[in-house]
Amino acid sequence: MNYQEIRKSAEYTATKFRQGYLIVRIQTRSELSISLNSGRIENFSTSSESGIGIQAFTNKGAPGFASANNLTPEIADQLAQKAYELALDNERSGCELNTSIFQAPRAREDIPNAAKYDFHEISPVRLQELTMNIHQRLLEIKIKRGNIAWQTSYRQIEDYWCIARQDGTLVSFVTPRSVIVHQGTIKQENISQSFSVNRSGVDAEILLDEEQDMVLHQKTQSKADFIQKVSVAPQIISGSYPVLIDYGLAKGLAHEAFGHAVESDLVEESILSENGKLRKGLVISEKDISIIDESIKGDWAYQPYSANGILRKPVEIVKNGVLQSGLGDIFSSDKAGIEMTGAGRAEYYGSVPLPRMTNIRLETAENIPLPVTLNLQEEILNLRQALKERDLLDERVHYLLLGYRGGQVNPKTGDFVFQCDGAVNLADPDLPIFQPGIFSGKILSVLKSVQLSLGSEKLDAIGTCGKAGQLVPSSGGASGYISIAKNENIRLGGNSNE
Amino acid sequence: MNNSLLETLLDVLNKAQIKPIDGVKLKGWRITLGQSQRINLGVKNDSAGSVYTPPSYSGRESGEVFLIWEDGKCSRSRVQNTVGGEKHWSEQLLLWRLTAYEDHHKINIPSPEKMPEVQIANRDIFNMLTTDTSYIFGQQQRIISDRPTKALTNASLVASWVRNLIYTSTGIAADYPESRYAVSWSFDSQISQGFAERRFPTAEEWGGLWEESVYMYNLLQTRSQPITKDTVVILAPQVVGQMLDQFILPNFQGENILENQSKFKAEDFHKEELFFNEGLSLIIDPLQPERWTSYILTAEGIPAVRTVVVNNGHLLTPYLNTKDAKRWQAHPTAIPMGSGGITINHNQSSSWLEKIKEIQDGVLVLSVLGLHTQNPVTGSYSLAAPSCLRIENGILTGRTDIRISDNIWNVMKSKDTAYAFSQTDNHPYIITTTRPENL
Repeated sequence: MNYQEIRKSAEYTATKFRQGYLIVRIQTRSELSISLNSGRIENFSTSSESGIGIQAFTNKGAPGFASANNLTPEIADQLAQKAYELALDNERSGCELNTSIFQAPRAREDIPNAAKYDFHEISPVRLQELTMNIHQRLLEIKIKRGNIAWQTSYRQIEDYWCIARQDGTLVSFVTPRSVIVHQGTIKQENISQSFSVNRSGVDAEILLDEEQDMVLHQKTQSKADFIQKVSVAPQIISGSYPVLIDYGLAKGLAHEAFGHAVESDLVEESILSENGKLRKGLVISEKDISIIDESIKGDWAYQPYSANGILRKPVEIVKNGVLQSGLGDIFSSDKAGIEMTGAGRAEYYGSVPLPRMTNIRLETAENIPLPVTLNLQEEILNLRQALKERDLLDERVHYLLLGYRGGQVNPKTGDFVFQCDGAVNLADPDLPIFQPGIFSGKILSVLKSVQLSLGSEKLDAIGTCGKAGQLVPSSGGASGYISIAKNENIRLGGNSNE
Repeated sequence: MNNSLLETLLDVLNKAQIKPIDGVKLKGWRITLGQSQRINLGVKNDSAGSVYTPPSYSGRESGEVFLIWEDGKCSRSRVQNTVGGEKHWSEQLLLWRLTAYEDHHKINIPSPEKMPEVQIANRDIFNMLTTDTSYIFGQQQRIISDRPTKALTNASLVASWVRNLIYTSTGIAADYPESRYAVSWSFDSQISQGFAERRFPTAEEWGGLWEESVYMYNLLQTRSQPITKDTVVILAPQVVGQMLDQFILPNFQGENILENQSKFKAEDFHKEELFFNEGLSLIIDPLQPERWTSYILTAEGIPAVRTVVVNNGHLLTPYLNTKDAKRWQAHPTAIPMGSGGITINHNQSSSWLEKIKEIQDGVLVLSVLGLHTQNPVTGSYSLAAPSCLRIENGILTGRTDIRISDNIWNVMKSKDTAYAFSQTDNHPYIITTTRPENL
């Protein structure tokens, strides 16, 4: 079934059903994945999958859902009936009713694919060859002690989504994405430390670009050198310190600590709410700090329309230090006291959409420019110099945290934690390196201590968000390295037992 | 459901063994398919069947093919039924051939072996899915009606029935069902509890789990005394499960050991090094009836066996799939289906109900933040634990928040670490020598 046939099928299924109300989602996904390990290919897998999910509502607003990975018209009819029957069962059992979708704005659009290359335009043999060439260069990277094992993976995905509603809404879009990931594992003195570096885009062009400009390779080389030092470095003694965090960590902070706390389905239990409503107007920082979520064309997490067929809007969650808005979908934005921004996303056709982020960034009004370099050591020197010149460098300890390794937040208590790849004490002219220490604190404290940013804006920190067990692409960044003043409510872990 | 995808694939692959694709014939193949039916219910923010957790039905038929060509190259692809017909499968075969890669491990398709008798399908679940769903709706209602009134409650309920089809060119032709039932709930995102097996819970199991979670939740509403320098840290079974996921599973995976990405080296196992405390054993046992982590065949067609990976502190074997077993020159072992698939035994373990009475000054860690970010190889962790229960004079008293820093390898080596079991949990409580900090 081609894309035009899918649009017709989705529209027909949604509009011909005469009971209740339907949202029909059809998704097709093409994916290929190449894995290389220490100079040899480990795997080359492909998949081509499709399916349909139907969300039905009774006239009173009781929901039901049914899905299958079969796109025949007969199955679509059966699923519509099944979803509606479940909705009726749900209504009879006294479920919460929600009729918001009946007033949703109607839309019709077919957004073309932003990829330069068609999914199969570059042959599998050529893709394998390009990935192998890029991987082979890693094997030439030498480290001073111990040994390093290299893995490279290349993934190319093309998701096509078509969403039709009973009111005549029909939108479709393609979210193409691709990524090269290098993972190194350094082993020395019985200590092992892994790290990864990636380059993302929308199609196989990233392989062609990387083969030419070696941008990822240079980042990997610098990172390998840094991690080698980290693996034998001492631990940070736990405490509160002034810190600089890189844009990947800043994305993690914005995503985990603020993004989830303002998603309309989570506002009720969020520390950023009061009586179930978002605390709009809450002053989070005296500084000119902003947090913005925005779907960006060509980005890893691009999604122009919500999974409910509503145009996705950029959201200024925090504007000039003040909590401004949240990520609202059609079903819970009113209840949460925020604007509906088309934030619903679903992992796949069989998932029920939830309010989610796309690309989230942390911006400071004040920014100190830095010379551009791909060399990490040079960048660290530039950061020290920039802070020192402006008398912003702490005299004893001022940590630079590098590399986001994940994080977690409890939205109810407002506690958050993040982990980095390693740390550098910028206050010491020898720039000593330390093992990663968990960065933890309270959501409401952290932005109060954000001061300014250094360097240029970067928004390509990519990842996968796992809210409610649904994995969707996420991304983001910051207006540079983010400077956070010492705050007793924000701590760096390390080893307290020393 | 019918056999159509299987029949189509058998036809397509058998023909490719006779007629070359892009000049090369297929030498061997494996088809792993699942035909599944599933129903989900949920509770979101105290509301049953809300727009985010509506009753949901899913029917799928999909799987994977693994191919070996006559020139030794391999292909791997996800597959599902399609309306594309013969043209689609011709294109797929050509794509699979074009994506074929040199497999330097020279993996074989396994030959048929005797299948173990493990009960992994319970007809009650099938009947519930196909005839009367009132049981699962009833459990959903029970969560709503019995929840603590002040708690914001979320819950998930899922029942599934899968028909597994594993066929190979070497003669494996397995066709068997499996069932699953899982229910989990949380109060204020602080207390989580649940049941996950291949059957429905008994009334006794349900009652025990529910009452324990409500009791813990109520205790968390009261602040207790801060910890002292002598406070003993006890990891609750849920946290122990997360520790197994983060530290034990990756370090015992055969590939990670062979690729030098594990705490252990191959020779540590060959020499049966004493690495853990001498009373400690780790076992993967997929043969237990109606357990969530039990199975009959792996996706590669390898029959389930009981595998002891650590015996009385000594390293015996990693867990090995077909490829890693070939490199290890051993038979494939059991594969753990998540942390629940690994059992911790200690020859001096005790009952938790008895053990807690001996603890004068302790703190029970119910959950931690950020464990997944810790280095799995070094085993060191430094974690915030914002929901803990204080133990004073053998009794759980109230909430406290702490930070814990330690090393899992040291904890599991130490003679001072103790293990205590309760009837409602698969994993033990681990009584550590970790020194906590107030958060």
